[in-house]
Amino acid sequence: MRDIITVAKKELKTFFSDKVILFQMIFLPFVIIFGYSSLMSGIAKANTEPEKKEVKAYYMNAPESFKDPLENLKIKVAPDNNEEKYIKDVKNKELDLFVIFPENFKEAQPGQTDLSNIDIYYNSEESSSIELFSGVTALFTTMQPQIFTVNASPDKTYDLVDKDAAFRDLISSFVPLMAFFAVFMICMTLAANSIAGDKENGFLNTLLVSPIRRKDLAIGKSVSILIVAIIASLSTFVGIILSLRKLSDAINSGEGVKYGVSEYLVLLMALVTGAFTLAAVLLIVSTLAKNVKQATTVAPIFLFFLMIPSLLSTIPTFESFIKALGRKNYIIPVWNSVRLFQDVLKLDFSMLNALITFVSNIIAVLLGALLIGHLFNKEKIVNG
Amino acid sequence: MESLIVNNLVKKFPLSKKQRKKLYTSETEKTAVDNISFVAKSGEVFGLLGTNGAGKTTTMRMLATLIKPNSGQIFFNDINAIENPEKVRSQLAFLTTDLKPDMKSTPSAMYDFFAELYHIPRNYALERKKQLFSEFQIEPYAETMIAKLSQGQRQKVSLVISVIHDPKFVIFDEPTNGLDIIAAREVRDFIISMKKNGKCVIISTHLFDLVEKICDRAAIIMDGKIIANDTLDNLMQGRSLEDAFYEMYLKQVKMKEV
Ligand SMILES: Nc1ncnc2c1ncn2[C@@H]1O[C@H](COP(=O)(O)OP(=O)(O)OP(=O)(O)O)[C@@H](O)[C@H]1O
Ligand SMILES: [Mg+2]
Repeated sequence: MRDIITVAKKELKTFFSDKVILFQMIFLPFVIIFGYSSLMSGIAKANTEPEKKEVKAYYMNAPESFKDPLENLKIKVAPDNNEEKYIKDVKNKELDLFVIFPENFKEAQPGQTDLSNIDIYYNSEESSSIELFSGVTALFTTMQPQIFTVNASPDKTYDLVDKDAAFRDLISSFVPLMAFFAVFMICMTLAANSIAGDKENGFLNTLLVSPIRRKDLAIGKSVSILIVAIIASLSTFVGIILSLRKLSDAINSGEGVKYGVSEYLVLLMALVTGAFTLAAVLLIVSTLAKNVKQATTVAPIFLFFLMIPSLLSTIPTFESFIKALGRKNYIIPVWNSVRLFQDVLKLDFSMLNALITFVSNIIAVLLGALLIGHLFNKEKIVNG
Repeated sequence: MESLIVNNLVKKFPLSKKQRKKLYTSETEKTAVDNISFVAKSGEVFGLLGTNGAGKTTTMRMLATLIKPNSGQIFFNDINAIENPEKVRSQLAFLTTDLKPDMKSTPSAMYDFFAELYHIPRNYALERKKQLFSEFQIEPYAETMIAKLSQGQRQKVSLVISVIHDPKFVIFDEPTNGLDIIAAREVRDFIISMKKNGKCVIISTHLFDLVEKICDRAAIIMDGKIIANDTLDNLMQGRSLEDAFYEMYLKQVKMKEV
C-alpha cells in the first residue's frame, strides 16, 4: 500500500508540475465541451428553417361541405378514429396538422350561443405546419365563422410544439461523445507517457530494480491515471452544466430544460465510471506498447467505441437496433456510459439501467486492473 | 561473510517466427545462459568477461531478479533470489548504462522518491542525501531537470540512486559502455570504493583492460557457458588477459570441431 501511494504521488507530481498537462487536464475538457456546445448552438440558431417535405395532415369527422375545401389544402381524411395518436404525431412532427370536428357537428342557427368548436392541432416549430394552420384558419374565416368557432376550448393546447424535446435530441447527439472525447485524449497522453514512455526511456527498468513489487508499481501508476480521469471528468461536468444552460438559451426553449439533481448525479457517475473504463483500456494499451508512439497510434482505435453509439443513435435504423438491445446496452462498458448519457439528456433514463452501467463499468475496471498487474509480471512485456 | 552463490543457472528465450528467420534456425528457443555456476565474495570485484552475445546481460538480469531463470538457483547470502525477489532487490544495486533516471524529474526529487521506495527513514535519508550529493558533486545541479543534464551528470545521478539503500551487492552490466574517459574513470573509482567498503561487486564486460584494472577474480563466458573461473593471476599466468582469453577461445573452438 505504501509503495502504491509513493508511486501514485510521484506520477501526480510529474503531471501537476507540467503546465501544459495541467491545462489539458483541468481546462481542456471544459473548453472542448463548452466550445463545441457554443458552436452547436450557433448552428442550431442558423438552422431553424427545416428542409421542405411532403405535407401530411388529417381531418376527422368533417361534414360534407368542409371536405372539398380541406382536400384542396392537401389535408386528407384520417385513416381511423385514433384521435390521441394523431395529436401525438403532431407533437412529434410526424404529422403537420390535425383538424378535428365534433362528432355531430352542426352549423348553428343565427342567434345560437353554444357554437360547435373545431380543434386544429399544429406544431409551431415546423414551418409547413404553421403555413397549413394559417391556410385552414383563413379557410374557416371565409366559411361563415359566426356559425362555429375554431380552437376555442380554453383547456386545450393547439400548438403542440415541444422545444425542449428538440433541444434534448440535439444535445444527446453530441454531448456524450464530446464529454468522453476530452477525457479520452488526456488519459491517453498521460497513460502513454507514464508507462510506455518510462519503458522507452529506460526509467521503468530503474523502477523494476527497486524492491517495489511489480503489481504495486502497476497499481500506483494506474491510480494516478484514474485520479486524472476524475479531474478531467469534473472539468467536463462543469462544462456540461454551463453548456446546457447556454444551449437552452440559444434554442429559446421557453423555461429551459429542467434537469434535476438526480439527472446531474447520474450524469456525473456515468462520466466518472465511463472515464475509469476508458482509462483502464488506455493503461492496458500503454502497458503492451513498446513506446509512446505505438501507444498513441493504437489507442485512438478505441475512440470508435465512443463514436459508434453516439453517432449511430442519430440514424433511425440503428436507433431501432439500439432499442432492440434493450437492457444489454447497459452491460457493455463504455457503450453503456454513452447510452446512459443519452438517456439522461433525453430525460428518459431508468435508475436500474444506471445501476447496471455503474456496476458493469466498475467490474470492467477491476478486471482491467488485474490484467495490468498480470502484464507487469510478464518479463517479455515490461523488460522490452 | 557476504557472498553470492550461483548454481547451474539456465535461461532459454522462446524464439518468435521472426527471430527464427533472422537467425536462420528452426529451433524454437535460444539458450542464452547454459548451466553456469560461480561464487562472488564481499570485498571483491568479480568480473564476467565475454564477447558479444555470450550471455552476460542475461546472467546479470537474472541476478537482479528482472528475469527468471528456467532452472538453477541464486542465493544472496541465504536469500533465495527466485523466491524472494523483492527482498533481494532491497539489498542490491543493479546498474547498466541503459537504466535511465526519470528525465522529467530533478536529481533531488529522484533521490527522495527512491528513498521512499526503499523505505529509508526520512531523517536518515536526508542526512545520507547531503553526504552522497557532496561526495558525487551533484549539489550544483541537484534541482535541475535531469533532461537538461549532461550524460556524465546523469550517470552520477544513477550511481547515487543505486546506492541509496547502502546495498550489500553491486551488480553492474557493462559499467563503462558509451561513457567518455572522464565518466568511465569516475565509474571505475566508484566500483573500487564500493569494494573497499566491503561490498560484493559483480561486473560484466567485454573489455579486458577493465577486468585487469579492477577485478580480483573473473569468469570467462562463451556461448552461455563458463569456460574458466579463477583469480586474475591464475587466469593470466604472466600473459596479458587478452592473450590468455584468445588461447582459451582457440581451444574451445577446436573442442567443438572434435
Ligand atoms: N529476449 C531475448 N529473446 C531472444 N534471444 C535473446 C533475448 N535476449 C538475449 N537473447 C540472445 O541471448 C544471447 C545472449 O545475449 P546477452 O544479451 O546476454 O549477451 P551479452 O553477453 O550481454 O552480449 P553483449 O556484449 O552484446 O551485450 C544472444 O545470442 C542474444 O541474441
Ligand atoms: Mg550485454
